[in-house]
Amino acid sequence: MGALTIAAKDLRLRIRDKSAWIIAVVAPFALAAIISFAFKGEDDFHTTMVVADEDQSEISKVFASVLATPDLKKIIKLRIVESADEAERLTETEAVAAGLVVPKGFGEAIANGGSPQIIVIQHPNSAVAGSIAQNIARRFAAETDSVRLSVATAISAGAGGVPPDEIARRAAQGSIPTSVQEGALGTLGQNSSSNYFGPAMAIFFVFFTVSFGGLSLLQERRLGTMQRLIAAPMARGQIILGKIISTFIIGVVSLSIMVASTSLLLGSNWGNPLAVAALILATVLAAMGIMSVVAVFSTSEERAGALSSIVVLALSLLGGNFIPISQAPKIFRTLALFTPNGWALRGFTDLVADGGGIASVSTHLMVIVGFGLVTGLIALSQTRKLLVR
Amino acid sequence: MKRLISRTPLTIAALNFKRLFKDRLSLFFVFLFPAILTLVIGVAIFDAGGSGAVRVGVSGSGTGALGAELIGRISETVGLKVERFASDDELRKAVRRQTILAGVIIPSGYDDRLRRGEADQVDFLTFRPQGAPTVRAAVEAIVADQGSEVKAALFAQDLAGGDLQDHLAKAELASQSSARIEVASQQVGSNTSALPTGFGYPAAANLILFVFITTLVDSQRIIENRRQGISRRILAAPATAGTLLAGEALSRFSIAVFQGLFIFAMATAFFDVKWGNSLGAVVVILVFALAATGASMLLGTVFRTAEQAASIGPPLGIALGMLGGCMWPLEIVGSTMRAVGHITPHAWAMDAFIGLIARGQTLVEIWPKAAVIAGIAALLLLVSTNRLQKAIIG
Repeated sequence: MGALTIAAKDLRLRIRDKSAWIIAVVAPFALAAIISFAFKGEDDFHTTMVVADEDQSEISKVFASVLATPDLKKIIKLRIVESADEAERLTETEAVAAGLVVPKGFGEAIANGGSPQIIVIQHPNSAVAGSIAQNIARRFAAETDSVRLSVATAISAGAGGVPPDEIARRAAQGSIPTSVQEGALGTLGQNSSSNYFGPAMAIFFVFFTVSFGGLSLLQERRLGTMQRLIAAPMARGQIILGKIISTFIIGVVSLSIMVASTSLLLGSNWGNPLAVAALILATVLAAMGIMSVVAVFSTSEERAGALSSIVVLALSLLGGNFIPISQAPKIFRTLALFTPNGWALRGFTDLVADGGGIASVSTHLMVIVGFGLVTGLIALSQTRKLLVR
Repeated sequence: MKRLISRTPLTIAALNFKRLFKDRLSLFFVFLFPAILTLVIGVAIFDAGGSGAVRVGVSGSGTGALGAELIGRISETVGLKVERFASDDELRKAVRRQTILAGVIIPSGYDDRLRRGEADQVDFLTFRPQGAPTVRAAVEAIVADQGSEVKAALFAQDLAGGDLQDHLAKAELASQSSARIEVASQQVGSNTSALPTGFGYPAAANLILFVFITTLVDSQRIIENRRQGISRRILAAPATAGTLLAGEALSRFSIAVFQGLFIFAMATAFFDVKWGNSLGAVVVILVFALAATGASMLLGTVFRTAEQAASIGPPLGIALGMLGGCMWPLEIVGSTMRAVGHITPHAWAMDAFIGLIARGQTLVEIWPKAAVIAGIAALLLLVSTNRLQKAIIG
C-alpha cells in the first residue's frame, strides 16, 4: 500500500512538472518530426539538366532520346542547347544542375572503332545531379560499347558466313540484360527514414525520462524528506518499490505517446502492436536499470545529471541512435551488441521492415530485459546506502 | 571602494572557474568527453585515418558461375572490399542497421536466366538519406560490363553456334581490347559547398555541441545560487544586481571560451585539423560562447529547480545540435529543414567553421555569420538579464 501511495505522489509531482512533459513527450516527438521532415525531400528528387548535341549524328540523337524516357523524365527536366559553351555557362551559373555534351565527331569515331568522349559538366554544389548525369552517360556508353563488343565477339567466333553489315544490324538490337535496381531493406520493403529515426529518438529520450526516478531518491535525501519517509510506518522496500512503479509508468507512457503520436500525425508505421508493446516495456526496464546504477553511484543530483548525460550519449553513439556506424572499425560495430538501446533500435526497425510478430523479436526482448535485470539488481544492492545515510 | 565594486564580476567568475577544476567529473565532461567523441565520430563516419576502402556486403545463393564471377569483379575493384553474407535477410538487416554502407543481392537463378538470354536485375541496398552514390556507380559499371559480355557471347553463339562458355571467354577477351566510350567529367564553378574532410567536421561539430551543452547545464548553478540565497548575500555585499549578473554571465562565458579553445587546440594538435584562418575560428568561438552564455542565463530564469535545468540541459543541447548540423551536415537535409536549423546559433557557427576549414574563407567572409550569432547572443542576454534581475531582486 505504501509503495502505491509513494508512486501516486511521484506521479502527481511529475504531471505538474513542465520540464517532465518536455522531456517525456514534447522533445522526442519534435525531434522525430524534425528528422523525418529533414530527410523527406530526398525521396522525390528533381533536377534540371542541359544537353548539347554538337555531333548531330544518328547515334548522338539516340543519346538525347535516352534522356527523354519516362523513367528519367520523372526526375529530370531537360533543356536542349546548341553548344558545349552554352551548357558550360548554364551549369557554371547554376541555372541547371548538370550538363551533358556529345562533342562533334562522336558518331564518326564510333563508326571507326575509336574511343570518343561524352562530357559531363558538373558543379560541385550539385553533387547528386552530377552523379546522376554521370550514371546516364555511363549507361549509354555501356549500351553502345556492348553493340561493338557483340560484333567483335561474333567475328572472333567465326560468324564469317554472315555479312558484316548484317552482323552490325543484328548486334544493335536488344540491350544489356543486366541492370541494378534499388533494393528494399526488409521483406515489407519499408525504407522510410522516419521508421528509423522515430524509434532512435524515442529510445534516446526515454533514458532521460526515467533518470528522474534515481534523481528523486537523491533529492529526497538532500531535502530531508527521505528521513521522514523512513520514519513512516512502512518497510524501506516500499519506498523503493514506489519509486520503481512511478518511474516505470512514466517511461511506458512517454514511449507510448511517442508511438501513438508519430503513427497518427507523421504516418509512421511501428509494426505489430503486441510486439511493439513488449519492446516498450523491455526498453523502459533496461533504461531504468542503467539510470538507477548511475544514480546510486552518484553523490549528488548534479553529479548524477552529468554522469547520466555521459552514459546516455555514449550508449546512443555505440548503439547507432545518432550516427550510422557502417564505416566504423569492427570492434565498434560489435560494441553495438552490448547496448540495450542498440538492441531496442534493432527490434523496432526489424518489426517495421519485416513485419514480424512478438516471436521475431524474442531474442531482442531477452537481451534488453536481461540488461534491465542485471543493472537493476546492481542498483538495488546499493540502495540501502542511499536510504540510511 | 570603487575599485572593489568594479572587480566583483571577475571575482565571481574566478570562483566559479575554480569550482570547475575541483570537480573531476566536470573536467571529464568538459574536456575529455568531447575529445573521445571527436575521435569516435571521425573514425566512424568520416573514415578519418582509414584505408578508404568501402565495405560492400554481398549475398545470393544459387547464382551460379556468373554470380560468383560478378562478386569476384566487385572485390577486384579498387576502393571496394567485399564482405559475404550468409543470406539476403542478414544483408538487409545489416544495411538497415547501418553496420554496412551498401549491399548487393544477386538473385537466385541469375546465371541460368542470363544464359537463357533473359534479363535480370541485381538489387543494390543502401540506407537513405545518405546513400552511397559512388559505390552504386561502381557496381552499375561492373554489372553492365558483365551484361555486355553475356549479350555478346549469346549473340556470337546465335550466329556461329558452339559452346556459350567459349564465347563468354572470347567476349571477356574482346572486352579488354575493345574501344570504349569515355565519360569525361568537367568541373565548373567554384565550390561553395565543400565539407571538411577527416576529423575537421566532427571536431567543429563537437566543439559547438559541447560548449553549448556544458554552458546550458551550468545554468543549474544560477538557480542554486538563487535558491540557496548566495545571490542575495552577494547583493548584501557592496555589489549591485548588475555586478552580480555580469559575474554570472562572465563565469559561464569564460568557461565556454576556455572549453572551446581547448577543443580547438586539441583538434589541431592530436587530430591534425586545419582550421584555416585561426583568427576567424577564435572569433566564432567567442561569439558562440556568448550565445551559449545567453541561453544558459535564460534557462536559469525559466526553471525553478536545479535538477530541472540539469536534466533538460543535455537533451535540449543535443536537440539544438541536431537541428544546427552538429550530428550530420545540413547540406544533406532538405531546404526547409536547413532554414529551420538556422534558428539555432549552432547552424551559423557550423557554416562559419565549414567556410574556414573547407573553403578557405577569411574573417571578412565569415563575419556576417559571426554577426548573426552575436545578434542571437545579444537577444538572449537581454531577455535573460531582464528576467534574472526581476527574479533576484523581486
